[in-house]
Amino acid sequence: MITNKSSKYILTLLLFSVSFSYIISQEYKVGDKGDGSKFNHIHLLKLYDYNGNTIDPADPFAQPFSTRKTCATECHSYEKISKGFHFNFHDTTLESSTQTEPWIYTDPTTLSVIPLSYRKNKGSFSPDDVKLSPMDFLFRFGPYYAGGDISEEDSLQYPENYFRWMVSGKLEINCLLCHSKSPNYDRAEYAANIRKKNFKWAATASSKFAEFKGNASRMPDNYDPYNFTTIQSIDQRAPIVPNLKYKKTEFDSENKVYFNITKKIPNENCYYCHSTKIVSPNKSIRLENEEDVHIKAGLLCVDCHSNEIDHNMNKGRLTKGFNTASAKTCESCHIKNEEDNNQLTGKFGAPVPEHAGIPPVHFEKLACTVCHSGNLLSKETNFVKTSRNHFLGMHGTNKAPDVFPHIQTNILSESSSEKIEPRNLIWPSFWADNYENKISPLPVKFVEKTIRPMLGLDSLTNFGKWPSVSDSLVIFVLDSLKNFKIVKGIPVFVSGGKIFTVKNKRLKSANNPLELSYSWKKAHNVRPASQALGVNGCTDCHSLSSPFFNGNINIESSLISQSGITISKNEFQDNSKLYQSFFSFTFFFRPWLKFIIILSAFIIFIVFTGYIFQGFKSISHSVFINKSKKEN
Amino acid sequence: MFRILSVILIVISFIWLLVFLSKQKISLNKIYDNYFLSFKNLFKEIKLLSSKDFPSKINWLKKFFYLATIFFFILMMLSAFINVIFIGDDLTGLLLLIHVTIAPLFSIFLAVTIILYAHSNSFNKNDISLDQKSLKINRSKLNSNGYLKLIFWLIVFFSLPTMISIILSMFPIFGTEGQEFLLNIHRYSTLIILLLFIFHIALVSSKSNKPVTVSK
Repeated sequence: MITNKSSKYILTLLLFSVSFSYIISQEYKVGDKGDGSKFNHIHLLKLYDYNGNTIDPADPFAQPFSTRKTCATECHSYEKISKGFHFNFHDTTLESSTQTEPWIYTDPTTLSVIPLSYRKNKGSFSPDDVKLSPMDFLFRFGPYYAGGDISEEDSLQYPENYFRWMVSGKLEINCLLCHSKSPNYDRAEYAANIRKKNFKWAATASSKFAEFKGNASRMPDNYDPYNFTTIQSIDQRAPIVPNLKYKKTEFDSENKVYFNITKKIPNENCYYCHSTKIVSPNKSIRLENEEDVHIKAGLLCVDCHSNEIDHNMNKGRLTKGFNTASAKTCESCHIKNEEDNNQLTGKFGAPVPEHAGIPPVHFEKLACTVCHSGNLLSKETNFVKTSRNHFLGMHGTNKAPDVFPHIQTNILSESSSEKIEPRNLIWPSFWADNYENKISPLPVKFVEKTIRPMLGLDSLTNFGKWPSVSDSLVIFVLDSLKNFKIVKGIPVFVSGGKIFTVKNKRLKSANNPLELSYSWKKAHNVRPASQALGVNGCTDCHSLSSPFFNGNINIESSLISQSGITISKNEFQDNSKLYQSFFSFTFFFRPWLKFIIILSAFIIFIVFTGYIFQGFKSISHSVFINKSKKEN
Repeated sequence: MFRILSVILIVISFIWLLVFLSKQKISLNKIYDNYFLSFKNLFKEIKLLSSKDFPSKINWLKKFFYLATIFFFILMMLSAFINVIFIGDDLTGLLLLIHVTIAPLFSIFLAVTIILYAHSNSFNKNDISLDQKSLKINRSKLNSNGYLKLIFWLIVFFSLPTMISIILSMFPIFGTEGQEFLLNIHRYSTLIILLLFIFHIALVSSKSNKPVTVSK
């Protein structure tokens, strides 16, 4: 029997061990801090599996190597790294006010375009809001997920996925995804393995150390590679059984392998998740992707988007913990800022912009990227494809220019900092429950199971054009949803910046396009000064024909009755269209204004100098007369 | 900085104006009425333009340009300083539009007014007396007419940097720092002109209790 005294000892010991393990986990490890040498350390290492066992390539049951054990047992602090920007998605203590690129759940057969973000950015929904479990999320978006966080944290998992996690294993942070500079490292293979739910094999399978075949998603719930009973129950001839063979030639006599990795992440590694491709809306013109001027100048992405061992990336904007200088914004390299003691400019050879003739008010109202980033403005907005939402770089990716989701780019919109900046934009579309004036999208699985059959949309025939349905069909679906217990309030359909409800068997809509759209800031590709907006003068923006203030943005709706509706660009800039048109119109008279003022100033100058000379003449005359009189 | 300075200086000069006018037993209302009365009278005398009497024509034009310049000047000042003083923001939006639209009209009227009044505002012995020994201007002997002339020439002088600075900023010559410098020149010289204008109004009103006229 445990006495009161012994329970105190046990409790103290428990607290001590918890505190000790926490302190240990927070400590820097040998490889976390450099000694100042710029030399690239050679990583000749033994591989460890997730149980901490050394991997022997001759072992027929060798397990995939674990990055947590291989990279972090002795050298790097996995705990510190796992709190970094790419791995801290569900950390709700972090800033969420800034809208960033969401993971866009897109399903044309259910008319769904839902911006998802574990960070709960304003206007987006957490995958949990639509009951998308971490496993489902990874299956859909995991090819561009660097591991850790939702794929490791047990408390976040859904009970129904328990056995699947046992089969797939955890998706640890894949260091190689960013740090590998091996030409053999195959990120597309990593993506393919995520899609097969081969989570614990993905890093190994994409490396050069092993050959891997298999599909964990097709394994039964009780699949266990060590348990011969389950393995024997699977048809061994089928190629789907996970089968890992290490390449012996990659191992030395001590079973060590050479990791070709670097701290200076090559740009191509970033491009795997962060590529964008601008496409023309009329589909006939394919704009070539031009590289960022910084890249052309020889910079690496990580020169600006740098980090310490905590992997808290510089995002190029002012965020918590960074001032202008350390945040590595445009200004921190290109502009001298005495407030932040940034007395020097020209870091990385950055030219200091002259901005000759541009009134300073522009720099208060516009982000640098307005003039220097993205494709040149056109009256019609272009679509952009992104790695994460259009699965660029994966095997078998749909290369069509109008593949869903349709992301409109270069929308000049006022941000939370009240500066106009170029943004990408989507028009969310989803079935939702309006309960106590809060609109929550319905769970995606419910929508797939219940609403998809009602809509009867064929994704193949609608390809390229977002499907739209009749009002009567939407009324039918919304009426039907009232019979489901999952809908606690009023069933609504959100699409094209409107909320649709059924009243008296008619479709009513509430219009709020700015609130119901989702946009996020874009910064790249940066164009050189010679291609910046305004290089041709004020009329690049301030003219009646300029696409800066003029032109409309197409609102993509899922209703036939709402097709072809547009919204003025001014709406996103909090500007009056009439005012901007009139202001632009005044620039037609700008040369006259200049001429009149110059002429007036010239006349005033002539009169002034003329009378000044006359004044001098009078003074000298008066002095001369007085002196002469005095002498006489 | 400019906002604080302009608020302080404008408030002080307005207080001075009110004190000065109260001593002269002139109300602001009276100045306002006189101004519009002068305009009204001017339009009654529009026939003078078609008369053969050249001095009368010139006199009519002088009054017209003077009053119109004041009108445009007040509009320019209101559009310029409302944002700066009350909102603390740069001149943007509708006020900028008004400011820029009136600017060419104002500059033309100002230039013509200066041409028309330059001769009558040239200094003479009645305005300035010289200290025979040191050749320095003896300020104590400068009368109100002399002060009016001095203010006139100071307005003329400061109108040059006001106009030149803003016009230079419209050309792709100066970078951001240069632009800010030019904008400051424009702002501060405008502020000086505004203060000089307040003094001008005070002196003109005290000089004549009749509808506002200028020295010939």
